[in-house]
Amino acid sequence: MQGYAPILLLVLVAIAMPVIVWTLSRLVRPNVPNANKYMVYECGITPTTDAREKFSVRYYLIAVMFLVFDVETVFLYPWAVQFKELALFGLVEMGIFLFLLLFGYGYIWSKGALTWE
Amino acid sequence: MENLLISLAQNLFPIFGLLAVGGAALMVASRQAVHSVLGFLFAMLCVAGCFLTLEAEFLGIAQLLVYAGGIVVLFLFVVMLVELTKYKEKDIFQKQTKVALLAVAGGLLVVGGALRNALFGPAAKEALTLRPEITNGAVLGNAQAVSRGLFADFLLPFEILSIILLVALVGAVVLAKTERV
Amino acid sequence: METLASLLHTSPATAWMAVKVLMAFGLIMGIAPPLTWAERRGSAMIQDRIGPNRAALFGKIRILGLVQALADGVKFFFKEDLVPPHANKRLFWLAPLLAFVPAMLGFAVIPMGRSFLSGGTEYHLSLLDPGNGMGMLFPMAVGAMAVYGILVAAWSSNNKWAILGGMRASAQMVSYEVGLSLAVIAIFMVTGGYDPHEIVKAQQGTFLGVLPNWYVFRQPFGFLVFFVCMFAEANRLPFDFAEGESEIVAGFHIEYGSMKFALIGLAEYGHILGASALITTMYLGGWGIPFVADHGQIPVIVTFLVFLTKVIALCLVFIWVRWTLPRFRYDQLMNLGWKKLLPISMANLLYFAYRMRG
Repeated sequence: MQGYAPILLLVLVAIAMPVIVWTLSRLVRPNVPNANKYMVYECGITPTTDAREKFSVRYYLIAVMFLVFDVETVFLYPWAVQFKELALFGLVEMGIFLFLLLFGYGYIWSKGALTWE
Repeated sequence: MENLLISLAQNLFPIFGLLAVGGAALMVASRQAVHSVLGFLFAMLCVAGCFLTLEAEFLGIAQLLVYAGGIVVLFLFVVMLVELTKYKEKDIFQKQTKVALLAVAGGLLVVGGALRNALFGPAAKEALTLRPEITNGAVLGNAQAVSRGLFADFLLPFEILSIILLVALVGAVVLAKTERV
Repeated sequence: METLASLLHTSPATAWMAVKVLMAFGLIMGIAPPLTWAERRGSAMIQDRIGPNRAALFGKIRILGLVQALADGVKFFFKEDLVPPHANKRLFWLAPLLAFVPAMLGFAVIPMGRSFLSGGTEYHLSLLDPGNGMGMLFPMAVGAMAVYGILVAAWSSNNKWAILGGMRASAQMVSYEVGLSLAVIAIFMVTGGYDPHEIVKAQQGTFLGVLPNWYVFRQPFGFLVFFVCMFAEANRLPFDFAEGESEIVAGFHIEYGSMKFALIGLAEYGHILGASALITTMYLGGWGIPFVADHGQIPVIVTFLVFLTKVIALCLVFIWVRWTLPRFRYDQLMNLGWKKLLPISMANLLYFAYRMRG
């Protein structure tokens, strides 16, 4: 664990720096808000509807596809570093794994899930 | 000061654990769905920290990549996709109390059983000690150890996993395609 | 090292850790502001303009307008900081932090120079010592965290442009992460590990007798995918769907001003630096000098300067590309990511697996 102290320290420094700067700049910066400054920035037009609208389901699809391939790569990492030791057996094993996934990839491609209309 | 730092460093595992529980509590308690998801993200980051303190770096990284980097993004997308503000809170949450209680009881039973098995069961000693090839340094790092376990001992689960992933992929496409947007 | 440690009344290990943390943090904080200047001067050069050249210290010292970066910083510091009433206040404050922290971790595991011996112990110019078990997976994992800064900033602003930009950008970032990690796996496979020190060592010497033994020459297709994906991950043109000035004004950070905006800006340039450092380490030999097989006699500072030169050159490439290429259309972007880069990197991986089958 000793080895990860620098990372923890760096995270703490990276959090501390903005907090310190925010606190300092709070002391010197002006604060005179008015209604116009508080308007939603929409190129000067008064907004009509709520900004948080429904989005296309494609975003959800992208996230699921990303997740599946993300899990796949997490399994590829240990396979890749032990590639020589696992030898042909590992190659065949990963071959089956990848084949099934590539089959799914081909399926979603043919269904047009990868095409953004 | 230095003593405090050292004792902090020695107790990082419980600290991360408590923070993770805090994140989970925030997730359950918060009324705003996006706050919940961010609480979940925080809990996941802390769990990754727990793994790192146990020197299970690969698991920690996998936790970051899959949970913090993948699943939470998916949740955030879903939460942002549906307009939760349109529904009244009562309509969504109030009718499920009984079901929720049942589910919680069932979950507790499963988790409790698993914990009992791991702590007091016949294989408890084996389960709670590090595998000898890791402690005596026969393998270089834990990605190597993981790959040994994964590609030799747990071959079938690994291949089944690819089918689960396939189902997830196909299922998502089928579900998304029923609604033309 | 001992003298420094005794000056600070700590052990050499602690002193070295402090030096490394300050170096990793200071390097990004030190290079990012001049990079904004380089961006503006570079764009001016490409578009045949003059660019910022008016700012001056004491009315005299201009250094080609480099003082502009300093003036910008001072201005950010003294600007009024508005939190719009329609925003979600807590998340509005949190988002710049979420963007800033991962960006600052970019240099964490990257070796910035040759390891050296001092007083019997070996010191490494990277935050984590070699053989730490996280290796190059750490920057990948941290890079995945960058999505949250954008998503949370966009959603908390409660502004149409912001949400549009945020959704587009995050979908783009996760899409390109797949090709990115597949390209990297081919390197891990050839190297036989993912430790950055090992990867740098594996790239010393020559390839085919005439080229440096860098992965950019040994795995050109992997490099292509990685390079393109890095642009997408850093949200740079031609992939700048987070901002898209001509369509959605400023995208996810449209409601941000003053110091919070400065943090988001710093994070953007931090990501460019992190991406450059990653490309340097993975594909351009890290701190290694081309054609040199044994770095034992070369001073540490030279290897550090070599590393820095490569990183800054890549940063300039980022700027050059931004002002040269037009933006993609969104469907083209998704096409490129899922239908071209993913198969290319997969084929690259399978090719090297086939060649190394033993």
